[in-house]
Amino acid sequence: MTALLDVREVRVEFPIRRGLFQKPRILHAVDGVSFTVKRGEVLSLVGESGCGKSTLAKTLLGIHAPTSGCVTFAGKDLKELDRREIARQIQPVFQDPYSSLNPRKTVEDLIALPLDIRAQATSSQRREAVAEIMGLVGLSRRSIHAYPSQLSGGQRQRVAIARALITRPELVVCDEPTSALDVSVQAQILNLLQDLKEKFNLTYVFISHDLNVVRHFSDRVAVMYLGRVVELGDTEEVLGRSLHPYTRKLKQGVLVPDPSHRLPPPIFDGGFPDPTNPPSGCHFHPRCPDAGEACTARRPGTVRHGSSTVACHLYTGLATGHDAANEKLEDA
Amino acid sequence: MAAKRDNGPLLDVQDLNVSIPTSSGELTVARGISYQVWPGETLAIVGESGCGKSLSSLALIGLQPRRAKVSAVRCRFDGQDLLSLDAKQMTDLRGTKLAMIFQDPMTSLNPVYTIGDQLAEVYTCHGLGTKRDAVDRATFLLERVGIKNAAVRLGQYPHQLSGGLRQRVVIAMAMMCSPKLIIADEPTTALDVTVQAVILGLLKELQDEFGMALVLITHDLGVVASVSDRVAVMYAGRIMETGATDQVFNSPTHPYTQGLLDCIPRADGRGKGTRLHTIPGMVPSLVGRIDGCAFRNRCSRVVPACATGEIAVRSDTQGHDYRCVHPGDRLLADWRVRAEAPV
Ligand SMILES: Nc1ncnc2c1ncn2[C@@H]1O[C@H](COP(=O)(O)OP(=O)(O)OP(=O)(O)O)[C@@H](O)[C@H]1O
Ligand SMILES: Nc1ncnc2c1ncn2[C@@H]1O[C@H](COP(=O)(O)OP(=O)(O)OP(=O)(O)O)[C@@H](O)[C@H]1O
Ligand SMILES: [Mg+2]
Ligand SMILES: [Mg+2]
Repeated sequence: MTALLDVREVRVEFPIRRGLFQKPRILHAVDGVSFTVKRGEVLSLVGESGCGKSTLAKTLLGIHAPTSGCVTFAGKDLKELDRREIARQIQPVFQDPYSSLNPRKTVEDLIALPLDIRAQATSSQRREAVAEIMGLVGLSRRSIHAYPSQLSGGQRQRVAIARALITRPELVVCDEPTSALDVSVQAQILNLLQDLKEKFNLTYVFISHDLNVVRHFSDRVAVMYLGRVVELGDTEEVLGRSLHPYTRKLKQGVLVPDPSHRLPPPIFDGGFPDPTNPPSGCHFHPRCPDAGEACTARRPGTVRHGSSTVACHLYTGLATGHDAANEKLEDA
Repeated sequence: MAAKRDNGPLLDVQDLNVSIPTSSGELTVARGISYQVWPGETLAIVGESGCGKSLSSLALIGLQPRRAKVSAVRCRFDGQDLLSLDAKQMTDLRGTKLAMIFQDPMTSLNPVYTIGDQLAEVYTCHGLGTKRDAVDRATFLLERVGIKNAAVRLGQYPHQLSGGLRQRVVIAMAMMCSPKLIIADEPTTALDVTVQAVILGLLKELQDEFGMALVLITHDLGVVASVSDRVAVMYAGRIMETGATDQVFNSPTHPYTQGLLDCIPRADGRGKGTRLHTIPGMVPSLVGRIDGCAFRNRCSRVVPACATGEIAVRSDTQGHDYRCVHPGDRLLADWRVRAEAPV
């Protein structure tokens, strides 16, 4: 089966100005990312805050053009599609149900926005479409004339989902769709996304910080670190076996809902990496317990292991002096 | 951590009511809320989206919507009656002894000023030092919250930062004046687990160092379990259950608390493809009076007594209170199994 979405060597760069007279630095928010997503699949992006997940999401939505590389959707290069065409097929659900909805518009207008942009629906078609989608996402008809301030966080997120689905897109890019919601509403929204996926054979690119949610919801996971994908594969492989040292660290940060586990000791000593001046070679090397010489010198290539790919010198055979990779595989 | 309880609570809220007139009637988002926070202590407030966690906290510091009505039997912070302060006194208090971290970081950040100017402003406008001192402190705090290259970041505008970076800036901003109490509304929601651990660790350090107290509004039950001393579980404007964190997690008594704990996705991946547990039904409207228990239409153990009058606060164990007429033993729950399974 060919991929619905094919992301090839995508880079997104931002110039960062410091002083008036200094040369701007380049921030590589997305630094050579490649992956594919099949129709009907859920691919999750996880990784430290600032690693480029939202920037990548915006690139998939056509909001940012990649500085280089290309995104192919259903066989067409996104560059060749106009914004409207992209919006018909790829829709976002953003994190923040507070600021992503215009406070002066009613639920009806908010949900109908993608239709209004295309200006093709008659007013009765519009009304029908809104009513139908509201039913699907579990919004009561009474709230059709409500403003966002009169809705709860969960209801607002349903509005955002209804708006994303009203044009019957094929791909939905969800950037932390449940992080603003409590666990009971989160469970409802995740069940809803699951149902809608089955009903319309939707494909999701899903961004979340909650590794338990990711594990529950996704088929495949891409772990990002400072703009690069360091591990990619089936969810259980990546979050279970975890080849990359960063993925392992990330798992240690998961807080358990059990008061007998208190806050774990800091996962990383020392500071955070500076994305405007990332470490040489493998970006992760200053924090990596297994880093060797090759890691500071060269960016690791991608190595296949089972269903996963991993970008780490422990697996490229370049890490010197130990059989760390084999050990890793054995104790996994 | 052991809170210092000798000198009475730092924050003492008794019977707080907050309501907002709307076109469909009076929306009551806090219905007789009472809690206390001692110096150095962390109280977590959890509950359904829209149950009034943010508004009941904003009302304490005078930031409720203008039309809102706020009343309380008592609302004391560090010896001052919060509800009788005038606007100027409240502004002074907010920057210095009491800081708020808002749910949406953009509430605290002005898009047209640089990060540096905004951090410094908090400090200098309260007369705590010169602009230079302020910049030094801002740099120090940005580094403490894990922002590398603070000098560059100070010159940037909010839109140039990722969501997580913005949130860390806001946390640094709250700490600029070494407050006695921070009310933090979902402070780590936008952050990944590694940064979250750093921020929570930092807040803890500041608590240990300066005896700072923390009211932590969050729906992340992992965060609650890991850092709070006590928990208040809110539903439809009321506190339904409150107690020491281990009491509430180990023997949740209110059916709502129990339901909430059941909604957490399993950590071991075995729930994949299955539907998550949800609490059936919807939150009742907060407009008008709510007779009886607000949770009863979603409760599996509802009895006629749930429908009438005010449900009184009960307690079996010291410090563990709940509002329920039929507190049942928790049915065998598998959240513990989940919690213990490795991720
Ligand atoms: N418009 C912009 N101008 C300059 N830098 C930007 C811009 N947008 C994003 N960045 C930078 O790009 C990097 C990646 O940001 P992005 O928002 O994609 O991170 P993220 O992985 O979504 O993080 P989070 O989990 O915190 O939301 C960050 O260092 C951020 O500061
Ligand atoms: N300015 C306002 N005018 C009218 N109603 C409002 C206003 N602000 C909030 N509300 C309503 O008050 C109720 C409580 O809101 P609040 O923001 O306190 O909820 P919350 O518990 O913080 O929810 P969340 O977890 O989603 O942040 C909600 O039903 C909300 O729709
Ligand atoms: Mg983001
Ligand atoms: Mg809130």
